[in-house]
Amino acid sequence: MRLGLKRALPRTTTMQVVAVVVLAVVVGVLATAITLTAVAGSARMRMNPDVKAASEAARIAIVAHMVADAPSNAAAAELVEGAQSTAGSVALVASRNAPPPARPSAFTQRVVEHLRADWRLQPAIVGSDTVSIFATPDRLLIFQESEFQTLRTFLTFQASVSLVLIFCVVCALAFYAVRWITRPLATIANAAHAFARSPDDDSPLKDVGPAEIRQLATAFSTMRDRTRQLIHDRGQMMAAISHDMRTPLTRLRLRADRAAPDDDRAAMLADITVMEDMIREALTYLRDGRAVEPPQTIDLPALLRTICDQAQDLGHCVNYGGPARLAYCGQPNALQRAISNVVDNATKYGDAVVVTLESERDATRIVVVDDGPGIPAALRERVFEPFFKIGGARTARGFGLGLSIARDIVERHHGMIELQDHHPRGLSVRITLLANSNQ
Amino acid sequence: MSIPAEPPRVLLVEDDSEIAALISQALAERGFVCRAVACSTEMDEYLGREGADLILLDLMLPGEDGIGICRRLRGLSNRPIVMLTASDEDIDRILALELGADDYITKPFNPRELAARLRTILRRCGSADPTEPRRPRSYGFAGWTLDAGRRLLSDPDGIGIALTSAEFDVIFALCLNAGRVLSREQLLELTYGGAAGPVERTVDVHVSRIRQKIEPDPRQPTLIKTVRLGGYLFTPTVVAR
Repeated sequence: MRLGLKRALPRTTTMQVVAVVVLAVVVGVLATAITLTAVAGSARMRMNPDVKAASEAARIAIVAHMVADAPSNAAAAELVEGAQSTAGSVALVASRNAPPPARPSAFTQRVVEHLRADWRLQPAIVGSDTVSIFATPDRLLIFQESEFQTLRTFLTFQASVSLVLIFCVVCALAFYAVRWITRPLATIANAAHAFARSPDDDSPLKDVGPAEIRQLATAFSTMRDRTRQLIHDRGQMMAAISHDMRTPLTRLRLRADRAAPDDDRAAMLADITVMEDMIREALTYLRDGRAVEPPQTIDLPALLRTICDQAQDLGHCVNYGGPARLAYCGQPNALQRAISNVVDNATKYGDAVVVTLESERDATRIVVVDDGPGIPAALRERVFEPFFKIGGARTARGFGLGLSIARDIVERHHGMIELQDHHPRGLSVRITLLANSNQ
Repeated sequence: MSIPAEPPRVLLVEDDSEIAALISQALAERGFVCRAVACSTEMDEYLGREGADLILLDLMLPGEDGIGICRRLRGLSNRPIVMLTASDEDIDRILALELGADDYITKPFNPRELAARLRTILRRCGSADPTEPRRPRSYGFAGWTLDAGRRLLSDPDGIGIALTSAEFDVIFALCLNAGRVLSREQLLELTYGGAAGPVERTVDVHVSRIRQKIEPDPRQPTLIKTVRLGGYLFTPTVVAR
């Protein structure tokens, strides 16, 4: 029950405010109506019912005589129109449309008694709150007599009209007023989205709307500027790593190369290579958000063969299996980096690695399989985290960014990367890319 | 394609004096004559007085930077230019190659590899016509396109075919010598002398890998034919653009 109620409630600010205002108006009008009823009712109570009945009887008698003496039907109709009053309504109908007799209410009974006593008029039919008198043999005057009927008419009519009018006016005003508040909010939301798409767009946020909204806009502008500064600083750091760290490394390498060939030299050169790899990995990771490589149509088998060949040249056993030709549109360097990272990982833990390519109707799948120890299911999500290394290994090469870079790239190509067990032993990394709609 | 009689003269433009000294020594030990200058004005002065067979240019320089110098030099002559830089961003590499650099080496580098690459480029440019003002940016054969500037190979449908650096050099060498039989030794000389990777691979391996990627039927090659008595022949007609 509560859940159903929640769902029925309006969601947007506009609808909520409109609902509140309309509710207020409706409650107000109803309260007014009820109060007036009570007041009028009590006022009427103070009036002597007998006197009221007598005056009603007088009215009925006079109208009945006037209609009976009317020269024509048209004149009679006019008289009846004129006789409508706040006291009660009068209708002139054909005799055959007479209302059925019924037990009269107390007030009606009094009216009837006064008619008989004071005016010697006998009503033809008496209903619960109607008194009917023959005007002519074939026409009947029906007088509606009710203490509360007049008030009911008044209230119903007045209340309905005012309710409808007020409803329309309030809705219109509320809509307009609330839009004035919410449009700046929508502008801020749009600016937030635009910032994600094009971080360098510097258009200022318009300073409109209520004070709280303006505060929000200012806070957002400040945050946007701060974020932009952060991105800029990160770019600076990249340049620093790139240039300032690589320069001394270059000198180290050149000097180490000239040292006497011995174990020390080999060890130094190996460490220098490790450092170079780490710098390259870090730069790739930092740079990846701003990737601007234009997509190109490439031959996937050639790319995968190249990766396998490069791994073979390093002494690993990596082979390709799959079609000889398959066109795919994507970012070639990024894809090569992603798949190389996966193959690198595979060669770290396994001896024989196989890279296969499968093409289905709406998907292209690259699977890298190794025969290593595999990755336990519990860690399969964690290995994609940046800087995560299995076994907490500080000894393993690199920063532990390889798989997270790979996943970023695969997802940028609207694909996904999954880790599964390979049977009988090892890990299977499946990269699924959407097949392009080209030849 | 012959080895020059005198040691090749390399002009290094590098503002870090220690690195300049180290590179000069490394190249001198491998048969080059290397002079170092620290900025573009010194370079212009030196080129005016002496000459050089190859310019080794650092990207980040005070004053006129490497890209500007490359663009300027390329307009003047055919002399090979190799860029040296700490940045491995694709955009920098592509820009440098588009502006006319013949190769792009990132720091830190293996000096053995540097020497091998310089030698390869000198050999390749040695066979080109020195009066030709603009070296061709791309070569076409049998519908394929080899973009020398960006080091890309595209098939007749425009689809990019990935190649390792060594593979690209092999097919580039074959292109430049289309119709002539190249022995394995000659191909080796034209492609880093096999010094590009950590493991030396024979020319045969590179050719076989290239065949896998470009031949319609790798077992019956039509583009790169094996010639008995050791050699390869690139059969299609090559058009320079």
